[in-house]
Amino acid sequence: MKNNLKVQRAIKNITQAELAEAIGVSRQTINAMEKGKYVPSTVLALKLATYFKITVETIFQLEDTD
Amino acid sequence: MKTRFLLPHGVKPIGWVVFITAIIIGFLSEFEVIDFMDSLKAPVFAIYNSDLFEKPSYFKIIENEILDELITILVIIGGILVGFSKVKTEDEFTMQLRSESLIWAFYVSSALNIIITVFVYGSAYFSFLVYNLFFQLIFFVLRFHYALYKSQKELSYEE
Repeated sequence: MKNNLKVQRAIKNITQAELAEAIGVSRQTINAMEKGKYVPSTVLALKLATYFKITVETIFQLEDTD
Repeated sequence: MKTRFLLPHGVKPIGWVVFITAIIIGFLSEFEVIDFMDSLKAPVFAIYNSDLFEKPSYFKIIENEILDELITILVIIGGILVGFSKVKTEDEFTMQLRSESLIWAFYVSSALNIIITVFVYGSAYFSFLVYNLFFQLIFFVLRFHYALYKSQKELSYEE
């Protein structure tokens, strides 16, 4: 699964730390997601989508390998 | 987020002290760097006791050197406090790191178990089995904190 979290963050002009704080996870978790090293739970994906006021599919997309 | 089966973060420092102290004393006593012999003799309740050349006994109070029992219990409890207490920024990602480290530690100590079984014989085999009792916990704690350290370190390369 790939995501454009970094892009969304850039659009909103917030840092990893600020996003982490707003969502209630650690900065490491945001960083790991942006690097594609961590696939978040549905709850976290929905929280991110709600925060950015977009759909989950706008942030996260399936890849062929999924 | 909700985390099941985890202890509060506050017990972690206590865990570190107990875990490391117990490992050091255990090491010193096992390899006779310091002789603790007969320093802690105490009566214990033995459900089952079997000594070489003696008839096994059941449900009897016996005299025993309890240092090794204490160390064993302290290493296990200390390790659990360290490995299964919440980290400062506990969330689903750290929970995944923890689970992966646990699986990894199980594999490594199982592999070690097989290696010991194949290559170590005689009474040394049983000593190694006892060491391996702790290896799983020690490998888990090391691997988990290495994973945490790595994810922390990657942050410093970010903006």
